[in-house]
Amino acid sequence: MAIPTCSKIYSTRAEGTISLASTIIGKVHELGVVNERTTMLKIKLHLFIMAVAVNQKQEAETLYNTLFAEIEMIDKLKLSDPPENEEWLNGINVALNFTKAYFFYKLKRGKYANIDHIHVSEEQKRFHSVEKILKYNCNKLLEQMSSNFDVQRASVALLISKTKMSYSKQEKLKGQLETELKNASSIFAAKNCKKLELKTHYTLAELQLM
Amino acid sequence: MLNNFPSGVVWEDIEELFNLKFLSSGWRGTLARLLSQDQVGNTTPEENDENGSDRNLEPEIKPGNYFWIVIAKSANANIYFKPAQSVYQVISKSLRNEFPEWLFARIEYLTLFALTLIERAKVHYFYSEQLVENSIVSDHGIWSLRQSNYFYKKHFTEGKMTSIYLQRMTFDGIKGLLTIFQEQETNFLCCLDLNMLKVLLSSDGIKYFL
Repeated sequence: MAIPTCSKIYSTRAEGTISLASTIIGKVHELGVVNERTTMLKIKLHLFIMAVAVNQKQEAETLYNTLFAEIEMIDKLKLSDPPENEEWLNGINVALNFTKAYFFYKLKRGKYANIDHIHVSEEQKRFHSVEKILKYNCNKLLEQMSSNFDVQRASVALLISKTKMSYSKQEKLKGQLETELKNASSIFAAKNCKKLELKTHYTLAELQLM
Repeated sequence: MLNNFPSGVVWEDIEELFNLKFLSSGWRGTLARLLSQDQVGNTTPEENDENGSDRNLEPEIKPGNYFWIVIAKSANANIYFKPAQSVYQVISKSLRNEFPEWLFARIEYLTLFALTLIERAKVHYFYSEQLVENSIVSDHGIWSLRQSNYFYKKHFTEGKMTSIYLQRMTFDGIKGLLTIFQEQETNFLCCLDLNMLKVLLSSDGIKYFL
């Protein structure tokens, strides 16, 4: 994971980074070693590819196909050799669903090209469906998980807040979101995630201006 | 050992390899002796002046094209040791089974190097965790390093990683680190060589997969 992560930071070509991660998955597969560690490595690399892809400004349909092909492969790996550690399994599911929710959030915000050409249901294109994924497929699992997942909790809270603020201007939302965003900000600050901390403060400022 | 890194190493890398006990204490003398015996590549004093001063080098180690290695100044004025292509090929194809410990040393050093490059980018705020990161830039949840891992046990003390020369360097911008990454990129990619990974699996190197 260290080498593709270096590539993600230092390489200017996202396609090169995705290709490197795919090559590693292929090599691990060719080695023929099937155990919990190699399965986790392959799943992490698929999640890594999803993250690199979702942060690119590209064609919505292409990106949708890439993401769902990766999700399918992760599902197969989870079935063939499921990690025994339940928290790891939940952690994978949270990361996977969070990435999916982030894609639909960006899709709804018009951050990808040719959005009209994408074949997804009208329901999936709504902010409500993003919120549903975050609430039922991320938060529900995170409730049972250890403090090692606090940053993930804060990230989910931030995205839920941004999603809610995109479709509702109700005054009563303010108090609730403000508390959640302040909690998220303190977690990001404690874990030295400066960019996410700034993003949360920015969202808090937006909330005040609503 | 130096010929084990296809895109070469700088003087500081060799010193770190010694600090990490991958090179024996007499490495300077051995290197000087090998270079002085190399009749083909001995450079004249005039050539040395053209290549840049060798004042910072050990007296016997001079830049030039030797039979088995090229010694030059890199982009950031470090002394650079790059193996001759033919020698590297012989080593990578023929000797990997005889000296697997060279491969262990290489993979271990490059892992430490890659993790340090990631850590430096975070410390200097050249790169900060994104909302959807899914890489080991994150040190929480499923992305945190497994403490039962061989590498973790050897190179982490109370959560702190073994320090190498990159941690003592200062960087004004990401460009300095980017140059270092580019210089090491081919070395990183050689860690993905399938034949090498098979040798690791069939020997003591299995510990890297546990």
